[in-house]
Amino acid sequence: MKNIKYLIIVLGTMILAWLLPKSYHLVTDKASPNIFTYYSSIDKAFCAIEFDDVKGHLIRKNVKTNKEYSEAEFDSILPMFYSMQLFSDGRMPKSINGKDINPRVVNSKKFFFRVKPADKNKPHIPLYTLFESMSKRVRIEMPGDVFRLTDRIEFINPETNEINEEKSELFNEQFVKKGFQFPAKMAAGNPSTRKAYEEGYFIVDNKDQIFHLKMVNAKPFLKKVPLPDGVVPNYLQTMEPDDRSFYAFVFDTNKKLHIITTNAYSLQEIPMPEYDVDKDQLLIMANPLYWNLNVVSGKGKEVWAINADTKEFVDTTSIVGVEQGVNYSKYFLPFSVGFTSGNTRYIKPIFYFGSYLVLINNFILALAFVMIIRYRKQKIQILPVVWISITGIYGFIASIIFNR
Amino acid sequence: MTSALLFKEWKKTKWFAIGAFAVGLALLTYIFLKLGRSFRMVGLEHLWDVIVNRDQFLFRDVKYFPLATGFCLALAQFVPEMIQKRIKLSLHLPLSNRKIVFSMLGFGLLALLSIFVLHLIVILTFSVFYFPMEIIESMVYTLLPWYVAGLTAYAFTSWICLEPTWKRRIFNALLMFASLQLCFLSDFPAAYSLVVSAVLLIPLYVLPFGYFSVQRFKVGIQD
Amino acid sequence: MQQAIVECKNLTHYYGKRCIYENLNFEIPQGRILGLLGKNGTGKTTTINILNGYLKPRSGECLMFGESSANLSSETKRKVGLLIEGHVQYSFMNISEIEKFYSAFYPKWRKDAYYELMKLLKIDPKQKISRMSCGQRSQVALGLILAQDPELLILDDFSMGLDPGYRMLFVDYLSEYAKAENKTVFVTSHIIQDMERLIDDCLIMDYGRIVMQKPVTELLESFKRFKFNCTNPEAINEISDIYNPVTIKGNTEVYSLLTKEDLESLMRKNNVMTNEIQEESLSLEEAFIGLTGKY
Repeated sequence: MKNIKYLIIVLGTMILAWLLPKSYHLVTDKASPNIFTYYSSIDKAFCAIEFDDVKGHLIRKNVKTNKEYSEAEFDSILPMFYSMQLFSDGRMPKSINGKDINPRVVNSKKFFFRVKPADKNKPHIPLYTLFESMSKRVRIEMPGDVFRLTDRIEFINPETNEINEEKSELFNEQFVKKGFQFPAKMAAGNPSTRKAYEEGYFIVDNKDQIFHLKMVNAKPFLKKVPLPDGVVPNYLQTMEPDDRSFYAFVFDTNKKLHIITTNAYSLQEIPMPEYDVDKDQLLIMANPLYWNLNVVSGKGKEVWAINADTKEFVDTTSIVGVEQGVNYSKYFLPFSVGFTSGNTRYIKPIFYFGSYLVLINNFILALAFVMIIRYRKQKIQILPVVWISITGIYGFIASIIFNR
Repeated sequence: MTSALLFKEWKKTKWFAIGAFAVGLALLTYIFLKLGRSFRMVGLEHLWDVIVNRDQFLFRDVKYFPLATGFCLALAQFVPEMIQKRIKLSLHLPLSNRKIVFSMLGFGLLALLSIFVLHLIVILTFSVFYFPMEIIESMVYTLLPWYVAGLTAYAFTSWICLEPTWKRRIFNALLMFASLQLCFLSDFPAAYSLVVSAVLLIPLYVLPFGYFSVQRFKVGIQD
Repeated sequence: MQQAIVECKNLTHYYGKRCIYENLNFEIPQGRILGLLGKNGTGKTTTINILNGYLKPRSGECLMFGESSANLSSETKRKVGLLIEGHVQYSFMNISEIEKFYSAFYPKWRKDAYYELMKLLKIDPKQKISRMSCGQRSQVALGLILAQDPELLILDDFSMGLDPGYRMLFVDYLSEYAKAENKTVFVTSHIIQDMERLIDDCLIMDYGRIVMQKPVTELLESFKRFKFNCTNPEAINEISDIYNPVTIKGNTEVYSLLTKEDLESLMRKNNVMTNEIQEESLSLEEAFIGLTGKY
């Protein structure tokens, strides 16, 4: 009987520890402005567009010199970003930094690549569509099967929900021959028909080796990617850049980023700000001259520019995250419970703890509880008092309501 | 004696339970017809692609069915007990109060579980024909929290019914709404796969609450 | 001496600040029929609730078969037949289902006793209790208690909502049964008619107190109504031991346990001017009104 009462109080406490901080943040949170920055191949400095609170409109400026630009000026300061506009206006220079600039070059070298923690941390169904890489057709077509990786590779026909033994065996032979260790840890690919070409999958096997799998003329193609010593893949994402210079991005366990180049699968490290694939967002904006690497983390935004050809570091700038104001919540909310997070698609409980100062508040609440119980002329029980000392405001409210 | 007690519960909930099961089947029939149509229109390969790569879920329409069923079953079972304080008759039966209350709650939970399990069996039998285990596994993870919500709603609603005072009933209802949110935090398929076993425990955690309110009734707490 | 079947010791209960009663003591010995009589809202159901463990009194305790009523064992509950206010039963069952249901709980179940009573009702055995009249429902509830064959019957306000015919039927059936089988009975009622034929002892309640606790025969022998003409009725209010004096146009009525002689001398002592005092014997209902007033 008493135990049930405590079960109710514990549940009430947990629910409050979830909803009270949530409502507090709903009322007090401010958005941190995500300022657009791009490395200018003309100014040789980062330029930004930000909202000026004083003037009440957007301003475009050089971050280093603070020189402001009009919209039209800004286009030509960032010719790579606004290339479409400049080409259509006929304002694009013939060459920049000694490099010939034409629409073909720009289009083949310009890309955007974005990784969010939730891309990696999400439930996914381990079935993969492998397209024909040497299709005679212009458009990529659905292959009529999907594969799974268990202790072998198996192709399944969706229309019959049956395994295509012949094809499975054909591919599996290659896996055995090339020393692939089942079960696979992950497979990265882009199962979309809306891309220029198909390069299949990059699969991490049980021994952290990376294999490149594709289907060429209905036959298996499997190649092991030679990894430099010390590179252990943590997360992979493939890409089909128009210049076919690389296959995929590899985030390794040392928080380094590499690309698997099309030059005999050699790995090339991409210098970039400190980045945690489970917590931070990465945006790469590439052009023929520079790659802009944007990392948005809890601390703010850090941007690096690197040379597009040599991948050498060029420049950096950072935008510190806005102060959220004094977070009073840590003085009266002893901890909070969350179940969802922007960093994952999975539901799981996450605990955040406040400051030690909250213990004073907890103690006062426990005392207040004792007073209320005495006023109500009930017997004082030790357990709720201890519970309130630990859980503070949450336990206090739950006990006041349900302690009878 | 326990079987007589269960007979009484069955008398109260019979039509509701059969009705809920029938409504569930009708709902599934509707979903299957809709799916059959998309099998013909776009083909299974496309459907698999949409499920695997676009995170679509085919049985979204059953989302609130278990919740509504659990809620209504508790009402069907406990409102007649509370009208005219009929619970006094039940508590006067020559069995311990604990046994009486938990038999009633256990009956409801089992009845609900049977409806849900039958429902899931129909879904899975259908799915095994058209989908591989990987997709079915993801489906189960997606569906389970919704069915658990039904069991949880039952446990909470019976607690609210058995509670003798209106003031506390309101607090109980608030706790119910907040707790049920826990089963509907995400629409993303299989989002609960890491915590599914913990979610399964929620209804069992809440079920004894009803006995607490019966104890409150027993000492005569009222508005 | 044999232990009493029901014992209530120093019962005190309040709803919030409203006093129901303080220090209520009574016991029901084996084979006696006690009636708890009082107007609506005087605490009859409260007492029944305390007795059955549906209410914890502010202080004091009740024992049934020597067991604290807050925690009755299954064995004790089996020995008690309970009729709750309004003849409430599981109205979603029909008369044969409800018989089958209860028979599972009581080893001494007397199916015949139940169906004997049901025959009188001329009801289809498939008819749901919820579709019956109040009188018919009362018979079902009574039948179930009789079939249970309990040692103690607790009946909360069984006369409520009953037509005179059903009320009489109920009383006759019950008293015959209780006398024949030497059962102990505890009834409450706010309708006093017919009670005289049923109960041995009475406990009469008014708001916040007990006004009388006596065997019925003793009460009716000693509690009388006195009528007289009086010129200064205000003086009567000074006299204790007199219940509910009413004077209308010089005709005064008082109730008292005193003998006529004692009353006369008391009147003289208090200078109440009266003519010849007439003494009248009372029915239980009249005595009840005399004790609790007409209002």
